Amino acid sequence: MPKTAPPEVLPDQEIITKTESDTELDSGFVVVCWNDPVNLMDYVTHVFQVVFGWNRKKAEKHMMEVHNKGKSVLVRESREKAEAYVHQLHRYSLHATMEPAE
Amino acid sequence: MKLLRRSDDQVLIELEAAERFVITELLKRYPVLPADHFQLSKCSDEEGIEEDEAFLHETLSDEQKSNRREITKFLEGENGFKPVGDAYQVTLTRERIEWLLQIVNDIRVGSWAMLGSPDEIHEVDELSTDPQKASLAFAMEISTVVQSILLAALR
Repeated sequence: MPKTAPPEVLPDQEIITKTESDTELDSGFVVVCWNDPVNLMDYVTHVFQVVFGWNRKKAEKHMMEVHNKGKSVLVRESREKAEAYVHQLHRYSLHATMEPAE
Repeated sequence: MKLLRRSDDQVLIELEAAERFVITELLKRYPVLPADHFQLSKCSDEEGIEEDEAFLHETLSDEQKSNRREITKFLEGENGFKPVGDAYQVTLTRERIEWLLQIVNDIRVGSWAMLGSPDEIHEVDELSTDPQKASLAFAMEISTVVQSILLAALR
């Protein structure tokens, strides 16, 4: 007869069924920044830091991607949030768009 | 134009009289970039994108009008350039610097667009003979200097 495993004691906490977060469920758009020959690299890095709250290293990585590859996907968001980000980037005169996520 | 003092939340910048004049004239150009310059999306067949883009352009246009009024207040108000001897000084909060960066880059990118969006400024035809084009190129250069100083002030 096999031994019965002792009952597992779980901490008293609310059971949360793992689901995708709201953002994941509604992640229909990506915000893309496109390269142009006019905006200064330092300026673009700064704007990414301010708009997305990124540290300098991450902002520079995306700025260099824009510079070297012609574009960088910055975030994947719901339509409403993507629009808000594009609006913020346009305020800084950066060439940004939102595109349906593939 | 030099950074005199910096604290956590504001900076003190000093300008010569000529620099103040040039920057004042530069800011008076705002807005240069049309509010509908940028698309919201390259995928214009997405449902509702055209309406959203029209709304975005309208919002940006309203913000430009508000910024225009704010520039006038900044240039003429007590919080603008203050004479100190032969020079001028201006105290800028981080929030004000952020705002100025947006204003100056609108002028910079807008001037570039009006020049035909060249890859290099020296590629612009008639730059040395056309006063309008020379003025736009000059605005771009001054904007670059101001932007660099403002970014340095934030670090």
